Amino acid sequence: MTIGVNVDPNHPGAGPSADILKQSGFEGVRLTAKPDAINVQYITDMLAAGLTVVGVVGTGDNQDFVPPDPRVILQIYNEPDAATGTTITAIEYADLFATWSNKPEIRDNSSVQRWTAGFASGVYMYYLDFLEALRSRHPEVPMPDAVAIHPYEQDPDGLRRMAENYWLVGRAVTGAGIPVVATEWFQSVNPDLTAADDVIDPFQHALNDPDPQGVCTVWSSFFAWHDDQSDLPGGITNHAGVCLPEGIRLIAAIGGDSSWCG
Amino acid sequence: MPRVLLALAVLLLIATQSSARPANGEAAPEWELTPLAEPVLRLFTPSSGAFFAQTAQALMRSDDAGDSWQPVSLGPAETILEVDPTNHQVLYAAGPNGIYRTRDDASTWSLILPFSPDVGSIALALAVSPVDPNLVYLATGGGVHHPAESHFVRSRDGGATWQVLENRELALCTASVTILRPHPTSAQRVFRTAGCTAGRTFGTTLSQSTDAADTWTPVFNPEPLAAPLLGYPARLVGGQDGHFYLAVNRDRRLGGSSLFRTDDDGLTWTQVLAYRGGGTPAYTPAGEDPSAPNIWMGGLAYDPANPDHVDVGRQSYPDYFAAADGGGVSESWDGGQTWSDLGRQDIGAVNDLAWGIDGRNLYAATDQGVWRLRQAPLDEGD
Repeated sequence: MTIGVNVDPNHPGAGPSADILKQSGFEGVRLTAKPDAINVQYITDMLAAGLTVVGVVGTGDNQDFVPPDPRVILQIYNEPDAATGTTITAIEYADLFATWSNKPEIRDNSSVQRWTAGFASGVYMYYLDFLEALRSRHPEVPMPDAVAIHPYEQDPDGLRRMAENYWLVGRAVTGAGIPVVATEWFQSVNPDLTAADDVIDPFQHALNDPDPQGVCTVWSSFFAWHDDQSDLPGGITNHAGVCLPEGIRLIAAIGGDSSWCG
Repeated sequence: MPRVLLALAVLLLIATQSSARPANGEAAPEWELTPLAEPVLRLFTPSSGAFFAQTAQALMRSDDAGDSWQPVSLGPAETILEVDPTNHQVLYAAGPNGIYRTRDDASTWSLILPFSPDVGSIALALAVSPVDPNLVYLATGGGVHHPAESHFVRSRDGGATWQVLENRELALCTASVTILRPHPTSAQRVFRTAGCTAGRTFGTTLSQSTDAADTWTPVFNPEPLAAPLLGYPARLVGGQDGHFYLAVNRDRRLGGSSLFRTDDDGLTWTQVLAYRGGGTPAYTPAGEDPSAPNIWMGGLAYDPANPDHVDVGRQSYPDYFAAADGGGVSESWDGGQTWSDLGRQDIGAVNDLAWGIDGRNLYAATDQGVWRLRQAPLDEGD
């Protein structure tokens, strides 16, 4: 089980060093894989430090860039089922997944892991339609190495139901099953850190093995490192590099050390 | 007459012309499809006259209340952005190279703002102040290669020069602007709902500027994460004497929509209409039916002379992924306390609603075309 965090080295303050990540208890990062020098160097540095890197590809800003290091886990596209600007049909997504899987540098290297995009709708039938389209339209393409979900606005029970449904779909199609990973999640917390109503810890434990109830056996990554990476009013740190309450809670939940952020 | 005075005179003229409620025993008005019978996205009713409809591919114009339509040349541009609300001869449109403007009834077009790294590569929204038509606001994005990028620029001279007010790029989301609406009587006030939507977003904030977009203050849904059931502000009408109606669509995962009313200039909002149902089983709130159609509000029209008279156009989505397959219009004459269907409801999914400038006709832009509902003549109804 790898616990990661979503970063963006092209965004000021959103590309933490490997040392800070490790001290905080994180074992990996997820980011959009881009061809620019800053992004490429960041990926290189993370891998050199022994951290796992999940690179989102197939998005507009990825510009068809394939990270040259096969250790980078490729997550193909982002939220195809979200009712936002990224929406495509399950068949279109299967075709996109196949296009990327058939790139020579990916197809010819069986060690490259390919994860699905993070599904955000909770409509697991979309995942079923995708898998069936992938199998029928692109039989040469291996099944994904993991199916990703983005369980926003869920409590631990909702997360478990959601993950269970995605697991059952993968098992129904493949027999052996496809691991479920959470590549984005967020919980806002009480800013009073002395309060007992922490929601980060139970959600984190619902996500992760070796907790007996953990549903994501391979990976989970909090969104985001820096609160300016999105419209969400939260993250591990704010624009000044000071840890936010949810950041402190999460670092504590994964056994990390937040003393660096005051 | 100076343009500002002319605009105020026109607004006053409009404000004195109220839509007319059918009297008891009088035949209820009915929708009729105009000759523009293809999907229509948006309507423009500038106070100087002419009537425009944006289709998926073109801009159409009618000078006879929708009886006939003619295409409007956009020159080198491709997509209409706005018609000057005070002057139908002034249009703004977007093309591959930037923002274009015509001041002569679409005879000639000029590139007034080339796209660049500072101002993006696609237009998200453009709005012209009806009080000061030289005051133009433009929201742009980064297009397919930078979907999370957004910019906001302003012109105080009708597009001759521009000032960049905002630049930002977030991560793994798509920039959007659903409302960009200058205040109808105050030049310095403008409303905006802008966001960068993704799976993590369940709503956006409606903000107001009182200094022509230099600074913004939330006026509705200030913390969308804390109130995911509120949703995304989609349509805003009103402004006269502090009255506004705001249509808000909930996230597709939750389903449903709400209409809010304020009579104190946005200090407090009251829900006056709600549609519930739809969404996905993983998200639909307890007590609501995920198998029901998801009803969104696609059009909102309001009578400035009678703030209790409001019309809501609906879009009905049979499931999470499906396109809208129906709609209709509901109407209230008592500020939202009671509602009734307005005419036949099989007019398609409503994308926009607008009153003609004389208050005699209500128009609906739907996925079937432009529909017209003739109200009773003013001298009979009032």
